[in-house]
Amino acid sequence: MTLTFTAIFLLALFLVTLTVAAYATYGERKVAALLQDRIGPDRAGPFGLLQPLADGVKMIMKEDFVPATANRKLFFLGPAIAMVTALLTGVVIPWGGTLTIGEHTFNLQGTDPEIGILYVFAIVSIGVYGIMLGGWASNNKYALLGAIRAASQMVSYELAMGMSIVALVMLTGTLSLSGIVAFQAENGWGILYQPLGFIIFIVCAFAECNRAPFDMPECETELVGGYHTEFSSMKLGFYLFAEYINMFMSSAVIATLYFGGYHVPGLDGLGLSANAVTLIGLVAMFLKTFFFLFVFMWVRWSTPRFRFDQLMNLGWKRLIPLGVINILITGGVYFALHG
Amino acid sequence: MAESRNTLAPLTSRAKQVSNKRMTLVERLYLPAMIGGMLITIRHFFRVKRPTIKYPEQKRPISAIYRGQHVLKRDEQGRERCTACGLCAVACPAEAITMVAAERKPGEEKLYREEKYAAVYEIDMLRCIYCGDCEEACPKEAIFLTDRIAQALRVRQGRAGGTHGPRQACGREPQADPRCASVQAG
Repeated sequence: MTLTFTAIFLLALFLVTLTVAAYATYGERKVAALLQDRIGPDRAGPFGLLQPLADGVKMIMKEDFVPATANRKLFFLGPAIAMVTALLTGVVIPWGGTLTIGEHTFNLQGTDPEIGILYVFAIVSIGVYGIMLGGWASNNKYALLGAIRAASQMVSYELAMGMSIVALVMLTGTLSLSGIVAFQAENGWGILYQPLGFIIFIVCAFAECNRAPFDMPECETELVGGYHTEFSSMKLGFYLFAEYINMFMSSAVIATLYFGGYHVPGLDGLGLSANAVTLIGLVAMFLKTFFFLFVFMWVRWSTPRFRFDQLMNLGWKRLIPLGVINILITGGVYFALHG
Repeated sequence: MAESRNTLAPLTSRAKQVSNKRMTLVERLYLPAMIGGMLITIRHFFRVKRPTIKYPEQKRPISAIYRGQHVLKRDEQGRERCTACGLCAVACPAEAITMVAAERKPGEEKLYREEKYAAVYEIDMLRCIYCGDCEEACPKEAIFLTDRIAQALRVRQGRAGGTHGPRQACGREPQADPRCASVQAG
């Protein structure tokens, strides 16, 4: 019974993730347009809502080109890895509490490993391979440079991101994502305890997703298209899609770690049934996630791109020391309060 | 040498003194500047008025003296005014107008006002600069530049080749009187 539910839940999660990613492309274009006093896509369907469909058809219909000098196997493997790893993160994120149907209780979470947060980090790190292999297999200088940038950027920022998480884990005393949410439900949201950690984390999340202002790997002005210069058709589509899925997952992780996940303050006092609380929590989780998705876009269309040396300086000379200081402060305050 | 450069007067009134001073801590933090920028963009996000004109449905209001697609006009009785005198072609600075004159045959009096008319009247729409000199030159008040937007061309090269674009037969005003139409059909 639980297994069936998990299977259905994972399938639903898969579909929801793809839909959200598809509509994130639409959202991005719409948000960009609105921020720039334009209207944005409005031709395909009402308010242009069928635009992702039109884009998808366009992507699939295009010629699937493979350069003659490319490494064909890795060229195929690159986008596949990028897509698969992007989809894998959502499994451990607690999208909601527990649903009770009859005698059975179901978790609105694919699986709840003790080391949930480490799993997220591990999967995100494998995601670098998708970009790295794709860029290298293209046998193109621009693609290779983009891939190198992506790899160095992601490795650098993972350190600072890890530091900000260490402080949070010290506070909550658990690596499990549902445990972190439970802690926040009891003691208040993580942002209250870890404002500095949150800033470090969100900056690193932007860098990890290769999003502006850190979109070095696909920096059009310098690298044509970056790591996906040689990709076309649905292979390119997979890369672009993976980027949006990564954004969605990062937003979900930010909401989970610092904004209480599915927890809604003051909801327990209303005397609603447990299932209603869970469903409201699910909606709240998605709303929080969408908000951060919006922030991702908002930042992209407000700030210019960093230079690569500025990016490295920020990562190594600013964020990592800040992360260490944050750990020290957290430890000091914790020691002062709890002995 | 350096002194003389310093004393030079600025060439324009818009010259600005630039400085390369060290940034303050707040400036170096970058976040305040970034949040400031984001506040500016979010104000635009909620702005209701947008300058976009959704073209096929909405059209930009055009000036009363707008010069668009050409048309050969008819007189009050539905007869074509053009007599193929060629003054428009002479006046045209872009040399875009060509025409073939023909003589009016008996029974065509309701179609053409005078004994001579333009059997072919073509304008090279890639050469035309919409100056309206043809309109000015015309002694018969036959050619006019309307407020219609000229159609986009689908081919670059006309049958003449070289620097000439495709010639487009100049639009002729439709006949208002149904009897005239029947005469033309017969």
